[in-house]
Amino acid sequence: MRALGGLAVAPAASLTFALTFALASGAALPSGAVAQDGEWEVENARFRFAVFQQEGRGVQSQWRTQEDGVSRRGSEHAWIFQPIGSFRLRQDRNAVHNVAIPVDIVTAASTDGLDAVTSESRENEAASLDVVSSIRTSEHTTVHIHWGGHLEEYFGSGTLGTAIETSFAEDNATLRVGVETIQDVFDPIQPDGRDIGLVQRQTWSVHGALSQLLSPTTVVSGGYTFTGQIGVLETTYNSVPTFDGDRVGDYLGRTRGRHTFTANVRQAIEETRTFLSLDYRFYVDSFDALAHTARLTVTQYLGDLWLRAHYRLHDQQGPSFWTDRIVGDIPPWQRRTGDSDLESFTAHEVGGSVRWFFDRRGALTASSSFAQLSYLYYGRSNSLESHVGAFDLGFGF
Amino acid sequence: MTQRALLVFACLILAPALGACAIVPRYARGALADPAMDPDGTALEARSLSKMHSSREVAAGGDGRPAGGGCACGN
Repeated sequence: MRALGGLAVAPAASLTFALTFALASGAALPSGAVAQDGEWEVENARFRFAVFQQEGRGVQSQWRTQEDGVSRRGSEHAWIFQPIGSFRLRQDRNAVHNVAIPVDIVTAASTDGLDAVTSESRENEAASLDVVSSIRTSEHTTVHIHWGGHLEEYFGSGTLGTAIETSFAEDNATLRVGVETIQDVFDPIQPDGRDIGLVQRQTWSVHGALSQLLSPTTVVSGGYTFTGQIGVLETTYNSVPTFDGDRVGDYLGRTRGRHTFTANVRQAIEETRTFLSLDYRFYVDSFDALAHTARLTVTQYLGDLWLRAHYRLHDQQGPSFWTDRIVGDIPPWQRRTGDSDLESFTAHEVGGSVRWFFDRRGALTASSSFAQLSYLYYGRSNSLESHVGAFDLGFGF
Repeated sequence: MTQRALLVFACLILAPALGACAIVPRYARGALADPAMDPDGTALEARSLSKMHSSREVAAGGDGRPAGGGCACGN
């Protein structure tokens, strides 16, 4: 079985497609798609350039007491430019490598008084390398190895993980289990600009996912992930306003456990060339934070175009220790945060895209070349809005 | 609210097991092979949006990927 999925995307959904696509269309692939042993081939290349424009007000950003004595949330204005490239390299009949190189350029990541002494949040450039190597070890089993790294100002991390995927019931079902670890090392710049040296954060996770064909047009999948973290967890230059007009740095404790459950249903309506996808995600963690997320995606073909629209609803309950103001002499070990990203809120997201398949070479496949324009709006009930525009190009070889 | 959500989730998880007896032959899987059914076809978009969500919401991590490993934000 050719595994098309990777750890880079939601594994349950990825597995679903790997299962169905590979078995259904393997014989119809372009003749050059399967490399001979010893010959490396680029199967596809994809590029994306996205621009995020964000406006909002947050406690952690430029909270100021005005001349009238009233404190107001500060600006979270930011622009983010995000080019990404990815390549799918086939080593031989049994090994394929998915390589992604995302870059982020952020203006005013979290502007606050800190910028008077450092440039920590004024501008930020980040780049990552993400590689998933998938090796088929038997007719029904594939082993995935995930590794990569991330670099940005005052921050670096490395990732290593593995997963095993096996299909059964005449390849109608696929099970995947995996483990992953991330080691972060960063410079914990303090809200007052002090530099106390490098600190670490370690993350481990285990996950399992199951997908199942229900009919020739329906696939369902579900998954669970546990993530455990140890180390410096807070955004170290964030702070909470105090009642006397000062600020105290965030502190989230030194351990955190997260549980995530996901479910997905995909339905094809062949008569109208319409495709539906419904996702649900439940999240809970040891900070008493809890979130429900649902997303509906509708795709409609019109000739060589697809029109896609989605709506996403996210409702979260923040950590029990979230506050917009605290007493100034709070003990250093007492957890607190005023980060508006961790506040209780509801977020609505609507988006749409137009994709043109300009080199379909017969039936559409995952390797068909395309160009895509997309836009989405993301708005939170606690005063944050983002507009995202993107252009995607994909080439199949 | 939480219990109800977990119940709905459990039902969704159990649905595959209930349908597991119906084997879909390989020749009948053409619709499932369409790129519109393929999460990998929008992997870059998904990666981009995942980062946007994980840096603006409390619920980072999961979906087979742990939290951390990019931006020092504690979300």
